[in-house]
Amino acid sequence: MKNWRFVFIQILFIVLAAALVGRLLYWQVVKHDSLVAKASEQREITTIIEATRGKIFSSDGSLLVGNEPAFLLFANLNEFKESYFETDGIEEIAKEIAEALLPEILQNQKDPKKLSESEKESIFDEEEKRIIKKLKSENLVWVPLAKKISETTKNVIQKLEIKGLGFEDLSKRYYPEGNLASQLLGFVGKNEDGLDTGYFGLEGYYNDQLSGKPGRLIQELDASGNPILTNDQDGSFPTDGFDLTTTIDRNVQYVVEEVLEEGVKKYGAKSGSVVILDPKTGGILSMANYPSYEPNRWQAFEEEDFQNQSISQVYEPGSTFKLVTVASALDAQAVKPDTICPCKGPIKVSGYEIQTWNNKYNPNSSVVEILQHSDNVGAGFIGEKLGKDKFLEYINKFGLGNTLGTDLQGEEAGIIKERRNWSDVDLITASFGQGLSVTALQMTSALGVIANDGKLMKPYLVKKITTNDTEIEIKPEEIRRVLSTDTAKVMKELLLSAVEGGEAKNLIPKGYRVAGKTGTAQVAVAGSYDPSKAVASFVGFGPVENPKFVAIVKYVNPTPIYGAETAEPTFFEIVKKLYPYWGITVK
Amino acid sequence: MKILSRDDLNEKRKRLATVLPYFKFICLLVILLIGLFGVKLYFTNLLATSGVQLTATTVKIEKHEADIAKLENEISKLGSMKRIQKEAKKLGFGDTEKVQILKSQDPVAQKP
Repeated sequence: MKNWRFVFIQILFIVLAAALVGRLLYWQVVKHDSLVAKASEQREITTIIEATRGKIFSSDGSLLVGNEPAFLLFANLNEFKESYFETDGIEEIAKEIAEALLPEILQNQKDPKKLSESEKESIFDEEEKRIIKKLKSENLVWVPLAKKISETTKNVIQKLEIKGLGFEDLSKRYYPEGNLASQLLGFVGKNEDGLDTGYFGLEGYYNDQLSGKPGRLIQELDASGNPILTNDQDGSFPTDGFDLTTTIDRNVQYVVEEVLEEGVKKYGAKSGSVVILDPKTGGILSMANYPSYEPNRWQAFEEEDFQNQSISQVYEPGSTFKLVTVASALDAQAVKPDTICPCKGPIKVSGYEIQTWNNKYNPNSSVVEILQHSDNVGAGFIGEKLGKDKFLEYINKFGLGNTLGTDLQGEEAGIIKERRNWSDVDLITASFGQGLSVTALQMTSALGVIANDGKLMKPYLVKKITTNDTEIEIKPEEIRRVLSTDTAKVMKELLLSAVEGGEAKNLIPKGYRVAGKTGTAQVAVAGSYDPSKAVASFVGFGPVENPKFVAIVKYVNPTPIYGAETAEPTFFEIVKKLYPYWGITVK
Repeated sequence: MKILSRDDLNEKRKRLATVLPYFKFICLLVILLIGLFGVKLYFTNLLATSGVQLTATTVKIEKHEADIAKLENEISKLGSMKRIQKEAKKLGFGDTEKVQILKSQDPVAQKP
């Protein structure tokens, strides 16, 4: 009798033990991998360490673009709704948050000072509704309320002591010089994946180098969330973005932007551009456009405001192109400086009549007189002597019709017809810069060939790239020799005479020894030229004996339309301010 | 109670004498183990709590880095061209048409 009880208890214990072992097997063998993963998840944390975006400096080391701390404001909806369950409570909170965010929102409008009270109220109401909508989200635990807010705004919101709100550290781009060189620098926005990406200018062109690479840190944490210093830390360090030092002279840029803005307003122009290069190196000392935009609040502006017109806008260069025609003809020995043009009247070609700009003719003009009078008939005469093939060859040698490879996003190549499409009329019109298009940078660079004794230099903006360990210097690059040294020397004198003996000789200050050429090109509208619209420009370099700079001033649709009355005086305004800065004596 | 005879007592003393060294050794071992355990406990605790210090130090470093970045930005803003021009105007500086660049005299030997 006693035996069966004993056996029963034995069997019971065996069954229980088997169940226990089975369960242990289940958790420790079958579920091993998933439990290990869960345990790792609980005690390990992977932190993404953001890379700091690289900074951009001017040539003297002044900061043009940096980073400043910013914050993401978020709401933990579970905690929030627990504290402010009633609908009224949420709306009251949303109003407080909107009030705290309002100053920054208004600051990011295009013209914050010009906003009326009703406009400000409308912006406030919109913001309040947006926040209420976010706070009332269903099926969400976490919602972002505002991105990249400043520390000041963060402190204001913190003082409200609203439960459920939190902040994440971010950073945002900071432009201490305001809108100085804005189109050159570009700005940082978001791409389709919501990641910071540079657009336009240097931010766009050098986005990969400036972005760097984020790092990862995998650490074991204790119960309080503090890291445990063991050998089990893993991950990679972030690689911060490279810093860029540019060739931009901050002082020159500031002066140029001031004078350009005054000029655009004075002449009622639609827009204006100035480019200044160092002819010996190709370094861009200044590149300005007006109107411009404020990169600290780029969201308030339109896409057309971001475009760098100096490299992205193509235009017919008009008479400034005569320097290319004459230089090419001299270098190819198609003409000599003392070659005489009959120039008795209009040129008739293929049923067209080519006249001078003022319908006045200068018989027996020399090459220098053709330039001084900006004589279209004379230019056509020289173009015919050169011939289509040679002319096109030199146009390409001057870097026109192709991009120059400048380190800026958005550079256009201009439009030069292919050889097979050139008619006899095209040869004549191209000789005085109509029927083809270029950018302001290309024209400046072309004149730079003459200033640099016949050599074409590649325009560039970044002269040094600094990483954590190294510095990489970018050396000036000669693209090719375009003209002989002798031709360049002759052209310098011809262009000096063109300025000092030109149509506007009484308007320009004396003694600056600037060589250059004015241009007034009609603008084509719907297949024909509109006489009331023109691109007025002046391209020049100085001092002619040892050129320190080569520059262009360009206005679109100024009043009056002539380059000699608008772009040239602006050019000399800039030169008058910069000569003392560069220590150049006025003779 | 059984009273041990002198012979039994001597027998027991002899046995104790042979066992005692082993007993001492085992005691020493146990003390050593306890000591090692104590040391391990101490360093484990140190390792664990240094995580708190590490966090605090990291927070301090981040704060200093943020302060440095803020100050650098403040310096840039104060040195911006617009501000310099504004302050210069307040001090009476402005544009001038008359600029004379003074150059040092030519060396005597180069005079004609």
